[in-house]
Amino acid sequence: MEILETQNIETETEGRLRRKLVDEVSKVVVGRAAEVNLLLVCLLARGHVLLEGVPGISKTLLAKSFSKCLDLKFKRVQFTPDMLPLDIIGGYIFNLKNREFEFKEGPIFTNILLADEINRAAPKVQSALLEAMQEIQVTVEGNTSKLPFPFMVIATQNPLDFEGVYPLPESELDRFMMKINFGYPTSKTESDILERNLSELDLEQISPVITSAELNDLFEKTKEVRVSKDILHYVVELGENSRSDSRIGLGASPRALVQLVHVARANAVLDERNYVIPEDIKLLASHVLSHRIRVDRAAVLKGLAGTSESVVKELLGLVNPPR
Amino acid sequence: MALNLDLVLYGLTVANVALYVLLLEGFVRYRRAMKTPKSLTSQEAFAFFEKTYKSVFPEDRTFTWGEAAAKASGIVRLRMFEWQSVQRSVRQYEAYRYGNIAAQDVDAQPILNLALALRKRA
Repeated sequence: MEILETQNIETETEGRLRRKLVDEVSKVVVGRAAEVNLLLVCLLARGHVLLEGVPGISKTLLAKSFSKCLDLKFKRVQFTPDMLPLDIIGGYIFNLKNREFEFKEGPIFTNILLADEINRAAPKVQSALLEAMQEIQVTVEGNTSKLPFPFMVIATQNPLDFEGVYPLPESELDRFMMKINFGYPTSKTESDILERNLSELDLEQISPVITSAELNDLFEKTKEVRVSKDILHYVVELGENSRSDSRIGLGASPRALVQLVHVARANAVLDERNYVIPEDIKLLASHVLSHRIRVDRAAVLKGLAGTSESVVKELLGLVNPPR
Repeated sequence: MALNLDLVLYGLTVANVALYVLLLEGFVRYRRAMKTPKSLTSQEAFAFFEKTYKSVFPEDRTFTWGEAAAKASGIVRLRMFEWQSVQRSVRQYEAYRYGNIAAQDVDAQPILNLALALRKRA
């Protein structure tokens, strides 16, 4: 049967807020609408994102532009091997004036923290982020301080670096709600980027498009999104299939499935729905599950499996969504 | 052995009648199948679309309603179809299945029309 290019019939339901944000970021960052959308979904689902891509493809610029659009506080930390937990979390410093130790907040006290090249830092520093990412608080010398709300870590890592890096352990990878693979832009986008860069890029062009009240409203709406039993059953079945598939050494954890449901709810809100549909799950499953599952090396060598992303896509092709 | 012409003619007539009966039966069945159901509930209309879609795209087993509608939109003869109303119908049905609207609030006619148009292509 002859099939022409599939028509885009989704535009009517595309959320206005989503479009507003993408348009605003696009003033500075070209051709990253899908990534902006995923960042927004993750923020609403109260998760953290791992961006993986080679240097020079506007990961940092995107994170900065994104936080500016939402009028959120942004800080960037360049991770290095000689870094200490104190450099991120902060610590007690002796104040000579009043002769007392005072807590000096580290850069983690912000809304959006860009952890650049996270895999360059020693495991001690990486693990310092664990409590912050999971419980949205930090504990220094027995004293616990809450982090601002919303709090989101956008970490980046370069997949080509092998020397002097400390790969993130499974426990920390599991803390990232999503992993977004940053590929090279298409040639059309690349020529747009070159054209755009002929004049100096100015982040001042970007102005907040979502107020904090609107953002809080979106957080509230996300909590109220309905998830039917059929959808939950579908997610469970995906998880079970990932664990029983012989090509997968480590399947999706229950936490991964919980987070998949959360991002699906956030996506529903951005589509102006108050219920999750199977398409939300299918759309986001690869970003939520692929960095959590381990493909069996023997299966890869035998040519039975490719990357974890392709395995997740195959899983989605095996499990029937509810209708 | 002498050929009995009457017997041959009789045999040919019977075979001819049987052939016409079979053709007529096939035609009646086809007409019955092609007849637009007068009153279908939204569930029946979507089940009918599902059945048709599976017969047209047997390789696609894990589709969602949105994906099925988008894929059907790529078929040549359906390019001029009322896609916005199909999309609305899909959204309404999803709102019924996973949200909280009543089944009678779903306008399933566009999806039924799509199913019939798809079946003509099959």
